[in-house]
Amino acid sequence: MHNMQFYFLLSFLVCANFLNIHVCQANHSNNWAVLVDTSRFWFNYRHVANVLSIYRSVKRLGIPDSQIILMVADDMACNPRNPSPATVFNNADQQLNVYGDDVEVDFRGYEVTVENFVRLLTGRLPPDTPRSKQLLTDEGSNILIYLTGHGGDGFLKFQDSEEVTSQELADALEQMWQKRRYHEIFFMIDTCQASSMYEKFYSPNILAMASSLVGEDSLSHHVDPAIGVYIIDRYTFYALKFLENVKLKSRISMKSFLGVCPKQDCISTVGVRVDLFHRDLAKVPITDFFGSVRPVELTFDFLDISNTPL
Amino acid sequence: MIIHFLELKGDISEFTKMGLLTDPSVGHGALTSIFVRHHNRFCIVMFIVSVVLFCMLAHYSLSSQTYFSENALLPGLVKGQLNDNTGSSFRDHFRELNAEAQHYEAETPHAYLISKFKNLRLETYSHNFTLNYPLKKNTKYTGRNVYGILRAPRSASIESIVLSVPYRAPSSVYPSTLPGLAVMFQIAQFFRQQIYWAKDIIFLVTEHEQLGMQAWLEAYHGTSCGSPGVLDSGKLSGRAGAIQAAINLEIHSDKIDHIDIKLSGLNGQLPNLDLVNLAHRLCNKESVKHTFNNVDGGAIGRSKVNSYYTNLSTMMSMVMTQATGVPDGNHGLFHRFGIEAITLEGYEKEGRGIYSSVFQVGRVIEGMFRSLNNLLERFHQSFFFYLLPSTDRYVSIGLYMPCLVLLVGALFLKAFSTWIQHSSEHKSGDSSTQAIISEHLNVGMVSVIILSSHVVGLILLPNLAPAYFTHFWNHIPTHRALLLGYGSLSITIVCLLPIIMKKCLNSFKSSNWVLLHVICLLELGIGLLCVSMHNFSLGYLTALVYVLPAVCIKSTQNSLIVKLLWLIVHPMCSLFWITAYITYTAYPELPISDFLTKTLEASGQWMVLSTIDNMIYGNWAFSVSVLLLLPVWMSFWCLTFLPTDVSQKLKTE
Repeated sequence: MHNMQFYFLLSFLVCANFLNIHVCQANHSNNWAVLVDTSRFWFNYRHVANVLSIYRSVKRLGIPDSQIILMVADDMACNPRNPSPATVFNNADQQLNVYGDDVEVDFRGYEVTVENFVRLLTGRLPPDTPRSKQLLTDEGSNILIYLTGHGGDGFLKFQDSEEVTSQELADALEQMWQKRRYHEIFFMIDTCQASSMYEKFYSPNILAMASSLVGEDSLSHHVDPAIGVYIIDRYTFYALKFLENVKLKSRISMKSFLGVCPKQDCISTVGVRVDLFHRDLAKVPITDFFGSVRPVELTFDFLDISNTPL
Repeated sequence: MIIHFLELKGDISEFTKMGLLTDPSVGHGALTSIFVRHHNRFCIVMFIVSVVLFCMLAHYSLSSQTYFSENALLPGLVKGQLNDNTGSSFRDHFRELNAEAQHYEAETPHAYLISKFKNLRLETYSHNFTLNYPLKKNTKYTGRNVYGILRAPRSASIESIVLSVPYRAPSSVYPSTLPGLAVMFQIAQFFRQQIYWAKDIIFLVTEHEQLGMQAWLEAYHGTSCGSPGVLDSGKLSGRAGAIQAAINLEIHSDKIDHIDIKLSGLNGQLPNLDLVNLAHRLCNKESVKHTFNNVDGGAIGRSKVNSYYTNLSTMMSMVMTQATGVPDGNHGLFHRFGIEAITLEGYEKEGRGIYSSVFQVGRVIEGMFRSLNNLLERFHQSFFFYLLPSTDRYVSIGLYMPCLVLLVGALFLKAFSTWIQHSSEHKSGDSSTQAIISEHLNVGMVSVIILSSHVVGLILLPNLAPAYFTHFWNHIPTHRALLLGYGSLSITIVCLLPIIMKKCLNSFKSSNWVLLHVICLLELGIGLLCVSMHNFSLGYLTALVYVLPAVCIKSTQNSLIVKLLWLIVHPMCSLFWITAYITYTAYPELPISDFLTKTLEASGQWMVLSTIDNMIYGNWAFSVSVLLLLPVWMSFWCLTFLPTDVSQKLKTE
């Protein structure tokens, strides 16, 4: 009898082990993006342009608005100083209005706070928060987190009034892991001394990339002489240039994306952290984070649609 | 047991020693005694070091490159778009304005200005003010300013920026500002078409130079800065938001040689350095030649030594301008209201050669307004206290203040060592020290002298005495009346004081008058520090004049030379010397009698102007001289003549 029990237990453990491995190898089941601009004021126009450009790219690659949380701390489009109202451009040629028709901003203006950001990540928003503003991820979710704003060694400033530290961010991600709120995270940050923000991470399955190393400033790319502001940051500019060539079916890997914006373009050194991420980067398609998995159910039965009411 | 008791007694005596408020051992360390013994030498060294350090400030190694602190300004990022393509051209505006100005030889064409602003589709108002001339009863002057407001199209009217031009009729003694006014029209016309304004823009044309500006500012803020009842600033019928910054235009020609950027404000207040840098940066961008105090700032193509002398002379000219406390343009009146303002003065290009067009200057102004429009808060980032040796270098307050501290330190060292010497002389008797000291200090007499000298100063305040003088001598011109009044009073005091001291105070004979001496030195030192906190240049120049004579004076037995030296620096005499120097530089070939009368007349006029500045604008240069310098001077003067008891002093020695 005891023997029976022992074998049963053993087979269960083997089974669980097998299943566990299986889960690790399995791909994610859905994609989310959290895109945050933390700085306000007209002279930080470029940060809003950064975040809206990334928003546009991930949307083009298939992540639906319902799975993008967009936090924008200031309304540049309606700023009275904007010579072309209701637009935000990310290039001085003004070809592309990134604040086009269907932009869903989830957190805006003074709603962009450290508290809201951390609550969003950890799923602790008040229960009356609309579902469109919640990060409803599960253990199969791949999340792209993009942050831009002004930062320093170990912190990112929110709104000129508070900041999130690298430790707080690392703890929030660990809490997400423990609550099975993600499968993998690609963390991208464009700010001064950006790499300090991912140095404290200790949760698994996180790939991180930063626009500059500790002690370096991240710089803007160019000025729009008509609007009179710096219009986009270097790192985001080159990242976007890369993403523009990515199609939904592209086989471009994350490894090539991590090589974006070399020092002669960025002036700052792009930082990468791969030790928490266990897959071979050359085999991870970029669409694992920037595109979306579309759950498709195949059926081999015939469907009778003649009775369907129109 | 007995030994123990003795130890205890020793402890008690130590405790009592510590308990004394004035520890008698203070001032007898080796270092202190060196200072006390050689204090005169130290004072001289401090003076020399201060002067040398001050001259060094202009050097490349002590001044720093200017930079922008305020991120929001985004200086020069926009491309200037001002041109002649839409609406009336600059030529049309200028021709029309000239014709109108010629028509009213000495007056301001108010009706024309109002209709012009209305045609430019600005919210137009006019503002009346009255000056009740303070030195003559029932004399009134009236004036009228015209201003137009361009409302920010997409934001609330909570903040504004001012562009002002002082109107000068063709008969004015100052160079014309009509080209500047035409530029303002052109700019208003262009700005009206733009939609990116986040702040209201006020276009202001003032009358009667600074008077109109002061009246407008007082009316805008609902306050009065001068003596009550002097300037009736009236009421404004239209307001915009809180003024963040102002630019005043004095452009003398449509062919501009260079733009001079003027900063000095009332009482030596300066605008935020960011605004000054902004002007220079945009002039650079539009390739307009720009200067500070009419000295070109660019160091390119000049040798090092030459550039040091240029820097030094530029810095000195700034110090001289600032020290007068009189604004060198209408911008200077804004500073007191927390509004940063500068004047752009465009000088005419004479002869042939390359000149800057009004459009280049217009684009400089456009760029400045675009930057000011970006501001989110008042200017607060950069320096408010600085000296400029060049257009692109500055000396921060941390570097120039030590120069003054060294001078004031000399006064304090003198006071300290005088006191220590005195207390050590009277330390021989242990028990009765206190009594002896109080007897020797003559507290009663000293306070009478100090108090009465300050009362005299109070009576001579510019809003008290001058009105009486002009009332008393109402048949002669105001400046002569003032000169006569202040002059005769000063001479009386200077002559009477020695006699009073010698004759009446014989009973107060004392070995020396340490207390009076120390109080005078300390008051002068503290007063100079306070003045320089507000107006460094005034404080430093005053200190340069007064510190050495003050250090030379001893608390007893002053020689005739010292007395003469002190007489030379009497505030009235100082005024005379300065005026004489300026007159000499202006008219070097005058015969001596003409020169003297001219100097005297000019001194009188200085006093009138200073009085009026005080009563209208609240300039406190005059008040400082009668409330600080004159009382201290008189107290020192008393000190030099106070009777001293030589025999007692000999005895103590």
